[in-house]
Amino acid sequence: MTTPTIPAAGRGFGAGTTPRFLLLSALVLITAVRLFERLNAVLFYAPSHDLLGGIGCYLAAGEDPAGDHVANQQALQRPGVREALESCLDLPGQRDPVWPLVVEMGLLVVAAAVLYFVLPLWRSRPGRVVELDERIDPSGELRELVHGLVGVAGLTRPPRFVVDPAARTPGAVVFGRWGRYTVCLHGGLLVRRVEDPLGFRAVVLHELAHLRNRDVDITYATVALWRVFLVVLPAGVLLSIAYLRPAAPSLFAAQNHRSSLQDLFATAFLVVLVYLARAEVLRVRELHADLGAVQSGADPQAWHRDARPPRRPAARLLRWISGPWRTHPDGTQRQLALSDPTRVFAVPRLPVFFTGVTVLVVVGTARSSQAVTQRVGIEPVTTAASALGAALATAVVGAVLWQSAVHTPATSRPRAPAVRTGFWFGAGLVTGELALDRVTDGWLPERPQFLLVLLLIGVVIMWWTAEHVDLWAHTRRGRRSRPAVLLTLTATGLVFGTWFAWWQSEGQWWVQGRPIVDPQGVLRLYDTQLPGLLDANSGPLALTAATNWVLGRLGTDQSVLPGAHGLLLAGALLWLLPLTTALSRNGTGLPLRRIVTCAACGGLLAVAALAVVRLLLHDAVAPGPGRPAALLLHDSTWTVAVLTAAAAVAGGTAGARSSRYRLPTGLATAGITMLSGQLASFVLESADGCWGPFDVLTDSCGWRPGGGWSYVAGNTPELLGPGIFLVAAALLVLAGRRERPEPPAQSTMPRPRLVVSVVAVTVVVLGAASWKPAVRVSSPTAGGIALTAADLPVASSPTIHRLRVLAWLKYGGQRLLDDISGKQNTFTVLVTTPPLTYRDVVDRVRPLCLDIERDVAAARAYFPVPDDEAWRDWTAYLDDSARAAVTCRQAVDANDVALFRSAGQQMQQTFFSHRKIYDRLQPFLR
Amino acid sequence: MRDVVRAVIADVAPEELPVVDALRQFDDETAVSRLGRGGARREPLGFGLEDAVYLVTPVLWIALDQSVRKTADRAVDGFPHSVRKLFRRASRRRPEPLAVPELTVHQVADIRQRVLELAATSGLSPERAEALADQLAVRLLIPVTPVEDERPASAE
Repeated sequence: MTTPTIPAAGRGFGAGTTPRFLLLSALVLITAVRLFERLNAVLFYAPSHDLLGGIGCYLAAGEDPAGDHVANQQALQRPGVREALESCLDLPGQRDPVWPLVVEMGLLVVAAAVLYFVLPLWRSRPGRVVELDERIDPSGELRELVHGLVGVAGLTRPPRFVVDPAARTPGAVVFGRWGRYTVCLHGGLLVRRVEDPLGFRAVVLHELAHLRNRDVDITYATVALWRVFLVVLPAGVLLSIAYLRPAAPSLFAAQNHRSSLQDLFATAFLVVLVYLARAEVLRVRELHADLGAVQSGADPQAWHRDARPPRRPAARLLRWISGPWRTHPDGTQRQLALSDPTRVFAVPRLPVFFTGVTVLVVVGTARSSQAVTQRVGIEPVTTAASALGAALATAVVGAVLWQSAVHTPATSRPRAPAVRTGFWFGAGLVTGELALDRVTDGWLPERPQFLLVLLLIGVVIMWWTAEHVDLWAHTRRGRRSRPAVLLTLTATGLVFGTWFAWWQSEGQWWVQGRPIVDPQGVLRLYDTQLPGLLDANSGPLALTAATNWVLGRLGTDQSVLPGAHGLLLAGALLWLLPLTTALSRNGTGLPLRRIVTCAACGGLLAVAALAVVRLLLHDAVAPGPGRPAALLLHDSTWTVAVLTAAAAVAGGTAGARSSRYRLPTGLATAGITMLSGQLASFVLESADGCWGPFDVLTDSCGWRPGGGWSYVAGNTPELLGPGIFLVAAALLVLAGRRERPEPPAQSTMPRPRLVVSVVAVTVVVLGAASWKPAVRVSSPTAGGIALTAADLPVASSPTIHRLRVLAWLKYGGQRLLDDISGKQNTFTVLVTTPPLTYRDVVDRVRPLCLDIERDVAAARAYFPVPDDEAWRDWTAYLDDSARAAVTCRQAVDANDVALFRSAGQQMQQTFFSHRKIYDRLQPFLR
Repeated sequence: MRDVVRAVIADVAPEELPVVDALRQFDDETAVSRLGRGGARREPLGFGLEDAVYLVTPVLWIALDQSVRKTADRAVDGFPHSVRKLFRRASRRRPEPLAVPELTVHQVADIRQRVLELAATSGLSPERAEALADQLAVRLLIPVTPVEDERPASAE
């Protein structure tokens, strides 16, 4: 057997398991946060609250604890409501105190740290191990041997060696804490040394390889954290069970039967997930330690003894079931890994899947943390958590992919098809979403088909990453590939982070059943930008507007940081980065000639498609005031659509002829096709009016490059942003195609540098030019309608409706009503009680009127009454009061007796509107 | 007793001498309970082999310990062993190593039988078990001479 070697590029990047441990730790920590929050809700928060249990402000704001998420979002998005909610939450006792959570998390971390330091002491306590000294080894030969091995393994600081004489297995174990490590030799190992010195050497070198790979700290830190968490976990489980009692309060959705059951399931799922993921990481580390030992000179034969595949089917089944739970790979796997180290670096399915699940659960849970979002706001938390999650996921999967690419020769097929890696990642994301219990109101999501979007996000991004890393690893050999691959992974992080944030803040609502688009509402919104649009509302205009709206919001959202330009940048990276490999001199990069040829054909296709669109649009809209606006909307939407389609066809053609880098080839072709389509579209728009039946907006022939340019720039964010991603998703049809041998190398492209530079510069210029048009108005609602205060979703039950009004009264409504009416009474009493001197009016009446004005302003800043009729009466009362108070102030300032008299009358009139709102609210108080 | 164990191991399974020397640093109770518990668990960052490779020492030590205790309990004061253990725990004294009392031929035969039984359950081959039991019987019947380091050169 030959000694396996690890290429230099693969070394130093490690097994990529450290980010996996970090991801697991993040999962444990964030789950602890969720658990503590639930506990604190019972332990600390509830007693300080009143009957409404700490959700009073939300009720007053119009939320419905038993209603659906969308309605609640809508209630909060009404003008002024968020601000009112903020000031309501600032009332004492309203915001959940954050200190219990801080203290608990602090204790958790401290306990884990203490355990981390105590564990090694406990394991080497007296009565457990004995020092390897002259009592066991009188001649000093054994000590000399192991210290010699320390040098062989390349460790600068020798660990401490101890012996566990009672352990009869021929093994060893390494443990310790930061900087102080102990190798514990089992009694069985000392016994075996006599007959099998090579085996002894292999075992010790394996343990020393663990030290060299820095496995000890991270492993035991994770162990410590997990054990502490297991102490806390039962508390959360008991809490869930407590809520299962029939007597438990069931008013609030968060505490009902189903969600408690789901909570139990979610907890069980989490425990299993952490166990399996941890075991998997440990197995990988074992294989790497084996390889390290062999590289230090251990005899691979030493692993033979343990490799006995089970013969009976039952034993094989048992091993298949127990395998994923074990911390060590079985002997057969270890031996296979040593005979062919590329096996160790093949992309495994499980870790990629686990990463998908974990990253989604971590980010989703972080977003649902009340303590954090109440203070920081949901949008920054979403952006930050998505960025962190994307970074960790990219580090984990990227490391695996890179290792695999580096260890797969350019001539042989990658062990795992790239699209398979993507599929497992996407499947992990979907599983995580389902486990998170966020998209479900019942046991299943309302519209599960939209989970496909999440699957596509995962599949496409990781498929691209796999092929792209592979491409760079073979274009630039050895260490030179490192910066390129790091750049690739940065791009992956950016792209995934953008889409992930979009999914958190927008996409997941689609699954929950939120309407994606309301065409008529979008038309009303667009009418504010393209006046006259509503007048021309006929035929497919609503469909066009809806398509435009969805395309403009796919992957981006006004509440997520990256925005349309982040997506544009992400999309451009997807195809510009791989395109630069075409400049590689050794001919391993993308086939530029084929790409340009296919893109040119795609460009011709685009011209034909644009011509058809223009022909259809020529007579599509009847003459009238809204014609230009409607045509512009039609034209730009369908131009983007057909250019995307043409790009997909061209990309598919080029990608299908590639054997290994289908997606990068396809995307590069699609990108260049889009650019040539943009060029065609620029010419067509600039000379609109000269094309006869192909004219759209104008009939007068002339060259208007300004208009053409702004048109092209305006289409750029949709085309090169979501458009590229749509093409990538469409290219998935290539994934199923059988692999074909790479066609014989064509003659190379002349002046490749020039071609690539022109393409890159064009994208940069277009992106910069599109900056302004991309800033679009977009309303926060899916329907595209600006909400008014009256748009309160109907309560799910009369009780909730009543509670909302009561909460409104309790947190300020009652006080405002009493204050204003009380001052109005005082006013009337003052004014109608003679004698009323001028001094009285200036000193007492004027300040009173000012107070009323101020109170009315405060009342307007408060929540709208969560009852339609009461809300109308309340506004009427406030209007009356404000008018009377303003008249009063103006009259006093102007010394106008007649005006003052009319102010008095107005003030008396408020009695009636006060009576009305008072009577309206009375039934709620009964 | 420890000297008996060491002497017998030196004769029967000299490769296990380092283990005996290491175990001698524990008190009897710890050594027996650790040996009784068997092999190591699978733990993270271990090497991961599960087969027990030495068997003679545990069989010998445990069998001898049990038999000697039984004899001593009966002979000395009739106090059950567990009660004495409690007292010792309370006084936190490191116990003296167990000494092998004078044994009758019958008692030695019993001990020999016990070794064979234990060996059968722990997977030691019958030939090695016989050799071990015989060697032990010889050691117990012939008056003990202090055993010096008899480790053969191969282990050095």
